[in-house]
Amino acid sequence: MHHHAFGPAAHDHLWQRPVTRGEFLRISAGAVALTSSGLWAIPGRVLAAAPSPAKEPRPVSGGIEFGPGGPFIHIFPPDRDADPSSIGDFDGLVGAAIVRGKGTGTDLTTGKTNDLLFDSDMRFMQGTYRAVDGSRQTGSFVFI
Amino acid sequence: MYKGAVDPNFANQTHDYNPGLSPSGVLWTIPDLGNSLSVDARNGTASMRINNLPMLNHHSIPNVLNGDPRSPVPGTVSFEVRWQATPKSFSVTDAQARGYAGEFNEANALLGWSAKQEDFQFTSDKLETSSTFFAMMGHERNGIYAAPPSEVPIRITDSGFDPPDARVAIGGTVTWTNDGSTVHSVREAPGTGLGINSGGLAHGQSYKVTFTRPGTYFYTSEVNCLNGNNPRGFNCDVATLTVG
Repeated sequence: MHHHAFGPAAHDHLWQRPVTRGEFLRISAGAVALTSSGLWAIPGRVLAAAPSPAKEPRPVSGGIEFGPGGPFIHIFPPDRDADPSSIGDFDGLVGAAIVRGKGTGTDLTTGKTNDLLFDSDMRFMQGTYRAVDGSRQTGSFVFI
Repeated sequence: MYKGAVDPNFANQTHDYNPGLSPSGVLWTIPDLGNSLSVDARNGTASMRINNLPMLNHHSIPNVLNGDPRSPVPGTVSFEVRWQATPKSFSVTDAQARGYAGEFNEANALLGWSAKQEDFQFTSDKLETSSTFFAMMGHERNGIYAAPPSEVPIRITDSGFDPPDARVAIGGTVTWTNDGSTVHSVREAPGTGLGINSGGLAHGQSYKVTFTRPGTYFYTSEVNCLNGNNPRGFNCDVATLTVG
């Protein structure tokens, strides 16, 4: 959970006003028509147990360099023009979300509290993947 | 979390909870063992809820990506995320160039979460007060499922085919090579009708087939698996080849 949890003085341009419950439901109401188009197929069964090392998924092949000269990470920032999956050789349902909000941090030693903002990148993948050993597997995965 | 204003270079970030790298190198991704994920593709909704998931606080993204020079601190994280697709749909079709393809909708998402470690805890405000910066949902294919290669090598070892599942582009060629110490073969499953039959392949010998008909085909090693003489532990589970 990359809570780029932003402090109270966060840059304004990084912040959007919260979506109210009413706005969320209004937007949601319009979603049925588009998703009934049948473009999304239903994947297979999900994992019942942790995959053995040989049955684990592979990372997505591409990615980004974390800063100039920094480590290469196999993930793309969520965007309309980027693969949202963290798993390579994957065929299935996927979701990605950067969500922002606020909360309270508490120092459990002193009891002191602070208002904090967060910015989290959360994703899911559910479907078929080619495992490390080359076999075809099905499962659900969570990117936190 | 940051002390004061956000530093775009994460210089003042103090907390970053993530599950680390998997042994295979997948970033910050874990299997959903508790069936916490619920996806309703027909209605364009999804949710996932996990409680008290053990996770390390790596302090900051640069710290974890640079090998954790500052030791991570154990903690737990609980969260609930909800997705709801919007009517704004888009497709990615040029899989050869981009490595993936799919049909997607922009979405709205909400998140409520908390974290706790020995000396610190964080509790977000109610989920409904969070807001979407960017969210999407859809069905995608990447890697071999999006852009199957035109040349596929498959090794035959004394323990089986490697990989046991392969995908090749229509018109592509598959080459099986016996890297084992004994004779093996490639033989299609009965009824496939492709005429795949390598006969016996000694160590180092190869068998090449070009596939022009899309479909999923099954094969095995006749030497090991169809003649009943499999004393060496060859994996006789049927191997799969998908064309197209």
